[in-house]
Amino acid sequence: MKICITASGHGLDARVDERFGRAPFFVLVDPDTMQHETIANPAMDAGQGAGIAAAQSVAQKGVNAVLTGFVGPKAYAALQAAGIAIYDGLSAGMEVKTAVKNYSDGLLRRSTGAQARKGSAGRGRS
Amino acid sequence: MTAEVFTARQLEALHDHPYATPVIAVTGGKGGVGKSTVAVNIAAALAARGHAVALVDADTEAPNNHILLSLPLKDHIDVQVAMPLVEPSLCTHCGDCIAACRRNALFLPPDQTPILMGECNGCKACINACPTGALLTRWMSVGATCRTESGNLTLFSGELLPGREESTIIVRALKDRLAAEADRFDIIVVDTAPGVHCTVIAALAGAGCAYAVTEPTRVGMHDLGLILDLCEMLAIPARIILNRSNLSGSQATIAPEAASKDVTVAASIPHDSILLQSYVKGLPVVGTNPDSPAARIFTDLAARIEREWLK
Ligand code: SF4
Ligand code: SF4
Repeated sequence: MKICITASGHGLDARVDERFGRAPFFVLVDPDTMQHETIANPAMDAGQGAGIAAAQSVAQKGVNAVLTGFVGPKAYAALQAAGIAIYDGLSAGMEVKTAVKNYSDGLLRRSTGAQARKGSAGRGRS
Repeated sequence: MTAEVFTARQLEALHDHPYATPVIAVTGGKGGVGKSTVAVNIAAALAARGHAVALVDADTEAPNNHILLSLPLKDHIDVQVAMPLVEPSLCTHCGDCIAACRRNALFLPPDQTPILMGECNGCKACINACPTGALLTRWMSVGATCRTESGNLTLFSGELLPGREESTIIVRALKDRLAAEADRFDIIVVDTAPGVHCTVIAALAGAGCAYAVTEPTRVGMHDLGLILDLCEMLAIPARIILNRSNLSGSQATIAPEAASKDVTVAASIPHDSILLQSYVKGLPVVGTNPDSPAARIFTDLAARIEREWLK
């Protein structure tokens, strides 16, 4: 099992970044062993299609679930196509390790659909 | 969008066009400020003064110049883009197509075949990158360009199909179509889409100057600021055309904005019922009521454009 938490820094003490496509880092954690690895999000500064590119890098890492604040419609479709579970609604102040614990304790809920948050998700028309 | 800053070389490439005919743009950060009315009246006034005018309606999501001129849209040419179509039996899941797509339009789920999910601009990079020939080219219509001649004025109009997102591609196709006969015209007037996105940049490319149409409201001033910044970034000299200039407090609203951006107000057009009637009738006021106040302003502006660009 490997879960991905969108973060503003490295490791388990980093803070959650609410954005999926444009989060600077992905912390990849095995919730059973708490072994972890941080990867930079290559799509953070992408001009176009950040959500799809972020989903691509997460999928390539063999992630099973994504924990984040919100996921835009295209990233949502991509993650679903890759069979990756989405847990959204995390808030930015939270530490990565708390998010993992909440996940393990079954406190997080599976996302019911893509979220559009004004000024954050996607860049609109190019 | 407008975060990126262009280098001198990028600007040169952006403004490069294969003809010497002067180009003026009519633009506006906000919709509904009378941009198209200004564009068709400038074009009609220039045509009435004996110049061969190309009017380019580059607002491809809501083209209306033909309506304001009561002209039919003629000579449709389909605009198509190449999109990748996957032949699953040939795909080895190598991911080369994903790496090649600079727009991140393709997604490759593990052990599956690529899916087109994002905004594809038809560049074919993925198709060329695929080592096994698993990506085929599928041509898709995204809209059309039209060309209608009426006396001295030739209208080039572009229209995006409903539900498509490729308005920039239509603007480019429109400009290519114009470029093929640009030398025949004395002047080219481009009516851009409202806003400050890529489609507007594509429409502004190559313009010698831009008239930014606005109205004296707070929203109008805010959006005017954005379009003036964009013109500055593109190194296009801009001037303001103030519409509905008889709204109260109008000069007090526009003066600081113009001063802070070091831009002049080229014309102030008061709201006027004759102008409105001409709009409803679909005939430029410079033709229907040449002696009305608004028509005189447009004719005067056309005369100044003539002195500046049509020696
Ligand atoms: S044609 Fe170009 S933009 Fe479209 S999917 Fe292929 S590489 Fe991406
Ligand atoms: S480049 Fe061709 S073979 Fe490789 S994943 Fe893409 S479609 Fe499949």
